[in-house]
Amino acid sequence: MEQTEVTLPFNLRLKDALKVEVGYERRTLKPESLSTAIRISGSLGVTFQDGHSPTEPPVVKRGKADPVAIVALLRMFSDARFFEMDEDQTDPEADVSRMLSLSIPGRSKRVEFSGVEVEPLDRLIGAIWLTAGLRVPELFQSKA
Amino acid sequence: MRIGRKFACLSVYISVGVLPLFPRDIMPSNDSGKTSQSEAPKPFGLEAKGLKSTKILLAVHVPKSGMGKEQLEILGDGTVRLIRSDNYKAPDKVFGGKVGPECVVALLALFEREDFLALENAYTTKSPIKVTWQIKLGLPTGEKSVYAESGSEPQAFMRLLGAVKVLAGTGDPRALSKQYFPYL
Repeated sequence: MEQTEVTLPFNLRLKDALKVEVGYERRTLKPESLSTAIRISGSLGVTFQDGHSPTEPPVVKRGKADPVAIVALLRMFSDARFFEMDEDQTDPEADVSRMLSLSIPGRSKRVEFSGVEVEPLDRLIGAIWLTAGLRVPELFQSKA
Repeated sequence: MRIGRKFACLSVYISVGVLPLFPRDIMPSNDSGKTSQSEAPKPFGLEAKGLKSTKILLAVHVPKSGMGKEQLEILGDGTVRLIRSDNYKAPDKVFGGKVGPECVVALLALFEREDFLALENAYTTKSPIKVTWQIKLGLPTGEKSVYAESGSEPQAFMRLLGAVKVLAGTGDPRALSKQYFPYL
């Protein structure tokens, strides 16, 4: 029988998957500071925080993490060479700022960007939205 | 770690022990777990019957001599089909796996959120190197394809591309392998 090699991205071991954290945040800077955030944690699950209103506290939704999807998501971060990206790709004139972060055992990185189209980052954002939405479908109704 | 090929896709991860690393007792107690029917969105107004006939396709077309096919398909019943060929003359190799139908609902919800049906049919660039992406959404009411040349893609298109890829990779990790899909 043909054999298939199973490896995790970033040379992680299987037990390391519990320690993985992926974050996405979108923050409006003008006219008001509002933020929408997604956090996907191998141990704590999915958290979606929707701060779409300046007068109401953010709505927080939680769900369990899908480990298979997290591994797929990690593979996309690896393909995008996330750890080699510039950390600051922001435009001070932009109205919206976005942030992606990845934390794995021994390494973590946060990339902030605004005002520019960064194709690999948009791919990752879509992958994060889908991975989180598998367990917190309410986020698809978010206005943010 | 080596396992038999027949345990590809979801079962790969189960068999190599990823799932046992997420035992119930370490999960937040207030989590609801899987999407419930009442919570699940019904994108594009689809009911169960209509969902089964939906199809999402992602392909890349590379202007390279002898270039083969690279294509991912996700069907409404959760079937993930990976299609590739070594060159334009070679026969298609089709393989793949499965995701839950609720995962397809989530993907369709993202398509609706990104207003896929309102995208242009084609995005072009003046670049001489024209790698072209295609995303096609098939619904019971019809289908829509969007073609985007590399460098011209709108953000919504790229987000959907990433979402399709990660879901296909959840069904079969080979969807995310450069060995199988070097350009996708």
